[in-house]
Amino acid sequence: MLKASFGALIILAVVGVGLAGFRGDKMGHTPVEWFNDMAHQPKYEPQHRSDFFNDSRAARLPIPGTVPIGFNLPGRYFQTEGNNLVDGLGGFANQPDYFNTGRIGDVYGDGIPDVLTARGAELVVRGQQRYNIYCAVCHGAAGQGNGVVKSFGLATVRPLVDDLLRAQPDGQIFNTITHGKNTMGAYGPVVPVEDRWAIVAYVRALQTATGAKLADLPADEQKKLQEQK
Amino acid sequence: MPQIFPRSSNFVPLQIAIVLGVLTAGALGAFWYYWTPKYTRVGYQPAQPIPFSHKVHAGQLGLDCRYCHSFVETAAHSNIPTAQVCMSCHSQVQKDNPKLEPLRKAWATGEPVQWVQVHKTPDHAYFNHSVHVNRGVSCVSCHGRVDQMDVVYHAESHAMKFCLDCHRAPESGLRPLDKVTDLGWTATPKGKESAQQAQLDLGNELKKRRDVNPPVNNCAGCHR
Ligand code: HEC
Ligand code: HEC
Ligand code: HEC
Ligand code: HEC
Ligand code: HEC
Ligand code: HEC
Repeated sequence: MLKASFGALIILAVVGVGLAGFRGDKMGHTPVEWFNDMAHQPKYEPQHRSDFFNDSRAARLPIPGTVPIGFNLPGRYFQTEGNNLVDGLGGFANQPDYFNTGRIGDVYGDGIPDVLTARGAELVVRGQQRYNIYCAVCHGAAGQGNGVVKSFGLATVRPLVDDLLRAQPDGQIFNTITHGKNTMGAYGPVVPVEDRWAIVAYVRALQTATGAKLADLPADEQKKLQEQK
Repeated sequence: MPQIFPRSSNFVPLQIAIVLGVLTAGALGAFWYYWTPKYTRVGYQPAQPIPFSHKVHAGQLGLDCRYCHSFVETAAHSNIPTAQVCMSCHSQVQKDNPKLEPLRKAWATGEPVQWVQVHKTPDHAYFNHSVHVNRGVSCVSCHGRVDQMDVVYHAESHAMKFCLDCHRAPESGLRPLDKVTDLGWTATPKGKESAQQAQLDLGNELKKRRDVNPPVNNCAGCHR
């Protein structure tokens, strides 16, 4: 009898494990929740669906014909190492001024806005970091128009360091980032205003670096290079 | 008169006890093994409307996580990209691929692609991406090697213990800020140090420098 019971137990165990599987097995069904008290509260979370609206979006788009002004991202104070007093990233705004549009009246302006030039070299470093995230995949790390996606069929990518773009005012490059141009998509919806200017500053740095001659370098850098040769 | 019960029936109570004992042990074992998010959640891999592969985009093409999850550094919520982000490439790349049909439809009509959510913190707990990412906690600590996944799955349990284990000893997960989205990064050992020790040394230094102090005993830190 003992043997029979153990036989039954082993069969039970094998069937049980067979049905339930092991920890970490891939599965397609929604996870079981043992106690789900208060786990699903009747509120909308970011990017969640709503059956109330036709397009199933809980987050609503601006009403046609209206313009949101001065919208700042939360989390402004979580930037930079441990220092909550430093102003970080601003946000997305629609004021019609040079800072937010790259335009003065109807023409593109030139120059980085004064509020940002105060950040000095840090602005260019930030620009480099953001450029590498958002632009390098297409335009290449050095702006030569040879990013990885080009070899996968995005044929129209162009270099950023040619004479045409050197001659373009800063405001126009800012506008290209914000709204895109021809076959390039818009990056305004994902890159905040300050970062767009930082990227413009870095693109200028790339352009300067590309045409640079030995004589343009500071004396000690020249010496270092010569020693390497 | 023959005896009603054979001699062996003296052992029946013992046998029942043994079988019940084994049964209880088995039930407890099954409870311990299965009644945990390590079983219920880890491995959750829903089918997505578009067979989008992180292995191709983040691994092979080398796209930074923030190219798509662009607000992970500034918001509590890490956003799923809109169709526009995909279309900046897919307006030309793989233009006629039938797998991308839902994307092109979303782009044409403005209706969102219905991605299935994988990770979900219960509403009674509070989670914030920006605090973690800006203190140098990498995505890999909580999501695993997403850059090697063809289809995203739930790699870590996200149980309360999982959060507290790190909050008690955050040095195990702290990195330089520019390595947060570089999932394959590991601390370089000095001399004969093990890789683990190198991480702890670096983590301890960063913890001191950044004055890192995550909530542990303060329940309201997460249940707010
Ligand atoms: C998905 C690939 C892609 C990404 C990412 C990308 N671009 Fe482009 N970019 C293009 C293509 C394609 C063109 C050529 C557009 C055309 O003329 O059809 C272009 C053109 C440009 C031009 C020239 C516009 C003109 O006046 O002719 C500038 C400036 C530029 N990009 C800047 C940027 C910056 C800055 C970023 C990063 C925020 C960026 N791009 C990211 C694909 C990309
Ligand atoms: C090309 C855009 C893109 C890039 C780059 C990208 N992701 Fe994603 N990610 C997505 C999309 C779209 C989804 C939703 C579909 C899915 O779950 O596969 C997603 C889903 C996820 C999810 C699961 C979300 C959930 O529902 O819980 C995680 C985690 C994630 N990504 C992490 C990362 C990490 C880490 C990186 C950087 C290594 C990264 N992603 C890079 C587009 C991207
Ligand atoms: C930086 C450019 C870029 C972006 C942004 C991008 N992709 Fe891709 N995607 C590619 C490239 C390049 C390939 C082709 C890879 C190959 O041929 O191996 C690809 C391949 C794919 C495939 C695989 C097609 C197949 O036949 O297997 C799918 C599906 C896909 N992408 C969906 C998406 C979605 C959804 C998004 C937005 C979240 C997105 N992609 C964003 C460049 C991009
Ligand atoms: C400390 C742990 C932790 C870290 C680090 C972390 N995540 Fe998450 N992530 C979570 C949790 C928890 C959730 C579920 C959030 C929720 O339900 O609101 C989540 C959800 C997500 C989602 C899905 C959001 C949704 O609602 O669909 C994406 C995408 C994501 N994370 C991407 C990332 C990326 C990219 C990084 C690195 C830059 C990252 N995460 C770092 C814990 C983490
Ligand atoms: C790999 C390490 C790690 C993991 C895993 C982790 N955290 Fe954290 N958490 C941190 C660090 C580091 C901080 C920052 C502490 C500081 O700023 O002093 C933090 C801070 C927090 C804070 C405080 C935010 C604030 O506004 O002060 C909350 C809430 C939090 N974590 C929730 C969670 C939850 C919920 C989980 C589990 C899903 C989790 N954490 C998993 C490392 C981690
Ligand atoms: C680091 C953040 C954090 C702290 C601190 C924290 N919790 Fe939690 N707690 C969580 C998360 C995340 C969950 C959801 C776990 C899950 O989904 O499996 C949770 C779930 C719970 C649950 C529900 C049980 C369950 O597993 O679903 C209880 C009860 C709870 N916590 C009590 C407490 C108490 C009491 C304290 C203070 C001693 C505390 N928590 C501190 C993050 C935290």
